[in-house]
Amino acid sequence: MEDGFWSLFLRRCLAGSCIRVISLLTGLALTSVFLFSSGVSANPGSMDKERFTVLDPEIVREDLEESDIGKNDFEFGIYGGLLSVEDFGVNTVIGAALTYHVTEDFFFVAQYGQSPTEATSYELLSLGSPLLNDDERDLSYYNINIGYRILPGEAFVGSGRAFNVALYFILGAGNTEFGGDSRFTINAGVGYQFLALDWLSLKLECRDHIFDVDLLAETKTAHNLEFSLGMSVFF
Amino acid sequence: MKKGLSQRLTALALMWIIVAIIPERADAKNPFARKPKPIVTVASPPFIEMRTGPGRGYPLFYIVERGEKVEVLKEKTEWFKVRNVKGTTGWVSRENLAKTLSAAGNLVALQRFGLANFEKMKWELGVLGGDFGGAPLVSGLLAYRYAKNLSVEFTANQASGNLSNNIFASVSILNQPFPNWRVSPYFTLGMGKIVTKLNKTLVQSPDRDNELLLAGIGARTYITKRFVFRVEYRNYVALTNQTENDEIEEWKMGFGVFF
Repeated sequence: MEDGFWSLFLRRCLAGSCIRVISLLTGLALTSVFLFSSGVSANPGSMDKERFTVLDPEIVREDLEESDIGKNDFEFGIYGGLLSVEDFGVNTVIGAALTYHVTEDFFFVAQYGQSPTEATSYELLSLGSPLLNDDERDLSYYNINIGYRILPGEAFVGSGRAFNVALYFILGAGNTEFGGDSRFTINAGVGYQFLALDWLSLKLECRDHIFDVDLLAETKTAHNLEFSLGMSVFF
Repeated sequence: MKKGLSQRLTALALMWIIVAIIPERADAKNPFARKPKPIVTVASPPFIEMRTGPGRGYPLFYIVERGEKVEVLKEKTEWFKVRNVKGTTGWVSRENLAKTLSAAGNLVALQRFGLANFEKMKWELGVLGGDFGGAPLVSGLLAYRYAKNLSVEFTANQASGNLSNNIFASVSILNQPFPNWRVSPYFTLGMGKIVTKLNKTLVQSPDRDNELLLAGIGARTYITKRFVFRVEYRNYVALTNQTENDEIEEWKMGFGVFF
């Protein structure tokens, strides 16, 4: 380390390890050239000129193909709310949804959600052994629905702002994993979509998960209502 | 130590070079770089209509006159978001945009969905419901048509009944003898895998896991835009290790979207 950079450099050159040193210098030289050239193009004046020639539609694109236009038909969102499971209490539910908009009216939506449930009044009153273990008490569901948007229009917030809104219905089927078994579930609901921006929407949704429960004495069809608030982005 | 230093310096120099090159290339070659938006000119009809949202229910608020240029920003279902020179943005319908001229002076070539597209479909994505050996069925499908009459189809299914919960998947080859008919019948042959779980309320027993063979018959019907309606019957044979194989009948119907 007692040698200075230049004496080391000279000694290296003379000692014949020139190639590495030359490659190093070439590298540095090229770097400075590139840095310099990008420095030139970063100059606002010349950049503007360049931009304008590139952006001239007469030169860049002649005919318009549909694939040149970005599509925004998918929507992904998360939601949270309350799910009432018949006999098993009302609890928080969280989930995610993927939507594909086929037309301005119709869409497909797939959802997955999870919710814990509580002990039934029977379990609490009888002080007996619980009906379900901890794993079985957690409910999860998935469903695939067809949706139909009705009453699209604008909502006015204050006097100068208008937002696009729509009311929609969904109907579909899926499965609910609850009480240790998988249950075929019919799913129906209604929602209100508020588009804060073109690509950002807020949703208020109410839906019914209909499935058969055989956990208490006899098999019955249970209506399980869910009320949720969600947020989604279009892409 | 000294040798290491020069190596490190060379590496550093190379990194500088790469870093210096990247922004240069980004403009020219990088596919993720922002492309200029296409510009179209309003021509043959004296005007096109702008709405506040992508749907016929949203109010009409602006008229773009003949000769005016608009920039096409994006597409949402059947609607296109455009911006004029003054910066006014709104949504125009597919029909309206198809009447404008591209920079080359030709009518904008937009795909029109109809029966012709149904006959030429490549991909289909669908959701079906029905009955699988007495249990209610939910089924999702993805099909790819690789020849005029032939498609390969993948399905993922769940049928949970009172006795058992069946999760199964299948791959099949679908033959469509008359692809040009509006109601197009097909035959399907394939195989799959099924996992059967007996319900908890019954006797505890381990999950069963079997191979499936399947044959089916069905029909696709074009409805409108990108939609098709499907009805299908399938006969499955589950290859069990018992003396007899299980035979399961399935029927289902539902909707598909094609591309």
